[in-house]
Amino acid sequence: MRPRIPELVFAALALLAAVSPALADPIQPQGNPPAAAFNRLHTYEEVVDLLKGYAAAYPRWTRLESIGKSSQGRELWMIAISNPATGPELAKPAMYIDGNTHANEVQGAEAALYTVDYLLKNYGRLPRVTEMLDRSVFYILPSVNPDGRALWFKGPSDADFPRTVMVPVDDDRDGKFDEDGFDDVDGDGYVTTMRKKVPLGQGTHKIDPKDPRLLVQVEPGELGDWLQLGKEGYDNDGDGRVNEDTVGYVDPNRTWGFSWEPEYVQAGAGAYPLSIPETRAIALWALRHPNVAAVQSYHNNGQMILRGPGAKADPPYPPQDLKAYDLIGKEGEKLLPGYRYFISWKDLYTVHGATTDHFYNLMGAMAFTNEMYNPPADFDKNGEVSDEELMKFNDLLALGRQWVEWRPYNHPQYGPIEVGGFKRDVGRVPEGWALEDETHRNNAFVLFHAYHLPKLSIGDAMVKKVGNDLWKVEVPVLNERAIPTMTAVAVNGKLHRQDVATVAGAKVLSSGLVSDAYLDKIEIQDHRPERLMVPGVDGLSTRTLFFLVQGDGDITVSFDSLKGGKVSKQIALRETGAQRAAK
Amino acid sequence: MKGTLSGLRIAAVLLALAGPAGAAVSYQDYHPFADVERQLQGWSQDHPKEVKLLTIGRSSGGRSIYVARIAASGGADPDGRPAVFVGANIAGYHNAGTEAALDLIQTLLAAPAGSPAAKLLGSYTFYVAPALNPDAHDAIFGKPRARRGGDAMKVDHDVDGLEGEDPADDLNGDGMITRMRIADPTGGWLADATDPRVLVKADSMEQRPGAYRVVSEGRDDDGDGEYNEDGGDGVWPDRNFPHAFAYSTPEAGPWSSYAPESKALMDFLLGRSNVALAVVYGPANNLLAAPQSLGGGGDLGTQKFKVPPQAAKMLGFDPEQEYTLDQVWEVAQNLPFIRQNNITKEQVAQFLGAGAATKVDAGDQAYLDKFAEAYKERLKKAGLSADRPGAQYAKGGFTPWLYYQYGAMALELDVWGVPKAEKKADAKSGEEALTLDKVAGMTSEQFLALGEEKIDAFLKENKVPAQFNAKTVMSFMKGGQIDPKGMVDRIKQMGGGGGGAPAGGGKPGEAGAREREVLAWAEANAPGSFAAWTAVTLPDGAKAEVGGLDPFVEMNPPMAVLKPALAAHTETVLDLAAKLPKVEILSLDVASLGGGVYRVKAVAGNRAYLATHTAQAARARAHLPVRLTLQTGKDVELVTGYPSAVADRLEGTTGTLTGEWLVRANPGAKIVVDVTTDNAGRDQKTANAGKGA
Repeated sequence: MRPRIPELVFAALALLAAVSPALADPIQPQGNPPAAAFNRLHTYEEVVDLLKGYAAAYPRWTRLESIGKSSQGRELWMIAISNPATGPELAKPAMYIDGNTHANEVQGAEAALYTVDYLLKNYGRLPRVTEMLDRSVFYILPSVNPDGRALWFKGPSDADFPRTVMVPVDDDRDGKFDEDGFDDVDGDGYVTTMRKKVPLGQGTHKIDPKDPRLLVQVEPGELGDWLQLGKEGYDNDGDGRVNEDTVGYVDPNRTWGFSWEPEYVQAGAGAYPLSIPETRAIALWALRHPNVAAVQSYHNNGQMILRGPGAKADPPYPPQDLKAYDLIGKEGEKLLPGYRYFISWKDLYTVHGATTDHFYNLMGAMAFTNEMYNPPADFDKNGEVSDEELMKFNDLLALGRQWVEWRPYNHPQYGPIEVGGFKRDVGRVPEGWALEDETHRNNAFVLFHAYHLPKLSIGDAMVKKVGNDLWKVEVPVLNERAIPTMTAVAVNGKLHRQDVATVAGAKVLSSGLVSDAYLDKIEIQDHRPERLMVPGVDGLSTRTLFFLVQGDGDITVSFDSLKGGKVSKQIALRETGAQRAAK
Repeated sequence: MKGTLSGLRIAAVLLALAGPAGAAVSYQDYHPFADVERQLQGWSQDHPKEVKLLTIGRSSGGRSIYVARIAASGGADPDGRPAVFVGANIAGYHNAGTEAALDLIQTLLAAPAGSPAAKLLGSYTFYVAPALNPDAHDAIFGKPRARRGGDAMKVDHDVDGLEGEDPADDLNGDGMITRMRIADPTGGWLADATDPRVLVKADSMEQRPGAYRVVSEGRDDDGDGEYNEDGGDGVWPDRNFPHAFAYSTPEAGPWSSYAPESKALMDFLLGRSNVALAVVYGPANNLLAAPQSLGGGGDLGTQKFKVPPQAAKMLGFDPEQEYTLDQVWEVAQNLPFIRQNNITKEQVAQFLGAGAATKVDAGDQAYLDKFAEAYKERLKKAGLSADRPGAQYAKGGFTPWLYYQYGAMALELDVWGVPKAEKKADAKSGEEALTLDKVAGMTSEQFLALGEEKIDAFLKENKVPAQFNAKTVMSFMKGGQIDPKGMVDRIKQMGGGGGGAPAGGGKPGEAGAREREVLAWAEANAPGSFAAWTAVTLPDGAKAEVGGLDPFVEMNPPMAVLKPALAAHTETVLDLAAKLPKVEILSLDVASLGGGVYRVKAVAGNRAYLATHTAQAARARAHLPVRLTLQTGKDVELVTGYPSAVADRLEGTTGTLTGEWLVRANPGAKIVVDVTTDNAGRDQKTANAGKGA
């Protein structure tokens, strides 16, 4: 039987790609691409404008899609970037990147946008970028939580608030929703903090002798004359508590499908898994995009490259997957000075229902959460950043920009108090001059991760005649990058279909996987030999396929992997001699 | 012509009766989904004041998911009254449940004025959902008839990249999918020596070699070596809820709440927190067998934690010691850091690494035990078996979600099950047989008084493993390590599960004795429900035999058999509804302190049988707490304090909540106090500020 023409063309294309021709031309934008500045933060509207700008300038290389709507009806814009000439998106391995899941963790959006900009502008200029865009797809969702982003920029907000999506929750269980949140009591545009001078003996704090702007707890044996009253706000609902039912409170990084636990075990979990529109939209999108093999979810802060498990009770990661995780995570520590490669539950805290655990444990993709930034203010290098050091940073490096001076205010519940403190973009977000460095380094880490998306090729087959028209064919399939085409968690948990190898041009009598090519050890697939199910090709290794075929002429062996792409090769049914493909 | 037509019809009936395997069971008295739909619409038209038919969502096959809201008109808003939710056949193959739910609606609507049922409708609301898995509902009428739990979603059950490519096939043409045994020395099953219809497991110690591989009836359509493993049904809604969800199980869905049916149900119930009691008609029976833990998580009541060093230092705990959550919270709740940041006890539990509840709280189980007593009495009165096994609900099931997360007093009832074969009375003495229930009701002393011989016979009768002989059990009991009830519970645990174990394609022979009992019943009461082994040849030439029990009959008997069970269950639900919690203000006292100042003291209580919240609801913070509020305004002002007193839950009968306020009131002003709840109603009481001393 002769192979059909399209298969031949496909095989020839694959061959061409394998010899890696001279660098392609850079992408010619239509009109001016956005001139994004990565030394400042962008509002939700600005993020959308940038995405639309890239989509307009690079229409063939990008696909801008709203994958759903937020709780308040904002679009969840995602941009897909890939080379239109190298096949359809779903036939190529993919990396998914998101940011700003937590509304206050804003700079993840900038880091994600940086990658959009970097890929489009450096294709054809830098070989690594060119290779990545030729063979893989990037799906980038800069803001998972556009409603929260809008609120953070407008306020009332501070460095820690809001994390939530804008789904009303009755936090204090009084039957009213979101009725007692933070208030910008002094109307200066920031939620800062409140403190009160009281007669000596009625307080818990005193003025920091080194810096009168700061309070410190009294030492044992001392009397205090100051009270710390927490963040700006009133007792809006007259229940004797301040700020106890803020806007929202479903935490979008606690709502995901894996290891989800209800609210009383995991604060912020929401009513049930993926009960909020934002994360459900992404999860449903991911089901339609099984080619996603790598995931980055940007958060802040603490300078960490996190992987799961999120909880001690979750299953530990199989060692096969850890090979790739550790390679990427440990290299990341070098690309991102100060960052540590951590396991969530063990090195940070317990998290149920996190984005990256869902992508790893349910989708089988290799996922990291980067916790960006830590204030670089540990001047005495003791491993901790004290309040005084933060003040020094404000005074000498930010020249006072970060701090709102204490001002008197007459509070309806507390009487005369003082209001002041750090602005919302302090502590979790770098100053402009450091933001570009942070986004570039994180982008470099993401591109290192994407570089290791599985890359398959079919090597020289070993063909042996065993009878009239009867051939033993052993076909090595090489994955030359670190991420396996099927993670062990996906194989063990049957998360998605296995890789499939098929043969065209001859009848397949038997098939299997070669476990030792030299000693002729083959695990025969008992049934359905024409559809050989392959539990993935490990990272940086070769999987050798076995076929016993009946026919003559040429056959075409095709290998179809959900996460590793598709490759095929024409093989002549002709004795190849003694050399065998190594496992 | 008329004559010809009716002649044809008779011929068709005769043909149907004389199917290939003789007279097959007919399910024609059961309601297909379309009939349920018509019936519900008819009721809502005929009883517009009492019935509001709600469509709470659509199945993945696009069918409506209905809830009939039934309440007498007038009085409080039906969605604000204490309510019972009754949901049926979310399993998909439990059509008997649908019949029971329809019977309940019928009974409620037919209740004569002044009857107990009519009175219930005046105070409470019934939400009844007779067909919660519409896509699977009609499988009982399918040709062939195969058990189905999944909706119409496309699922690749065997993750081979193909969807629904290997369904079951009716190889012997008897109209139903039963079992298939293929001669295979590695298969692990063999025919039972006493009853060749029954298959038992191969066993080395019993010297029973395997002879068959046992699968469900059908070809290996996709030639992958597995039989009928990708049958074209979708996600099972009754496996898709978030309590103890089974990951990596294609029929359970990729994550809980993925199936539109389960999501719609949760949205409906969470949007309406007035449901205090939920009865699911499904394959499990929590009153014949107490609900077992589905594993995972942690039990907060007794779980102890090490406090991480830094936190321990802050709180003054020893980082080497272990503490309960309550011990930690007692100290932590007063820290300024905790108070200013409104950190909750749950957040502290999470910080300590606590898991979710996994066992029914003992206090809640006490209510279930009481229900079980009444339930069994009712079954006996109706001539139904009360000592047959009850199955357990499954991981990710609807019922466990209702209890553990939604916070309702929730139980699943299977409506009907194959009765336990009657025991012959002891011929020698004429004494009554020692039933499990009878033993469970004994004190340790009474049980020990039976003597070793009788106890030994009792243990053997109930298949207790040999290492627990009479001597051992008696010594345990004397030592107080176990009492008769605890022993019976364990026996039931070991032998439970008969009712829910699938008859076709499951694990045949596992409970050999129960299977023989079921077959004997089927033979006598549902003729045609058992297909004898018939030889078939599979496409690859392999020889096999097909046979077994109708896949539905074990849960869905002939209507004449089911009828008394429907009535008994409707009565059970009405009984339970009468136990719904209801708060009221028991007293309101206003004492003048002079100067226009009064001390107001109000006591709210729950005099109904059930607690306002289950203990689990209180732990899971499901439903709002009970809130007792003094209305303030121009005429009544608080001198100090806040208007509301709250309680996490009020126990049934005895639970009270007291509020005390110091107010300044104008003479003669109305003092109004409200008690409000989500699911136990509300009440208001008014008193007048006196003229003042």
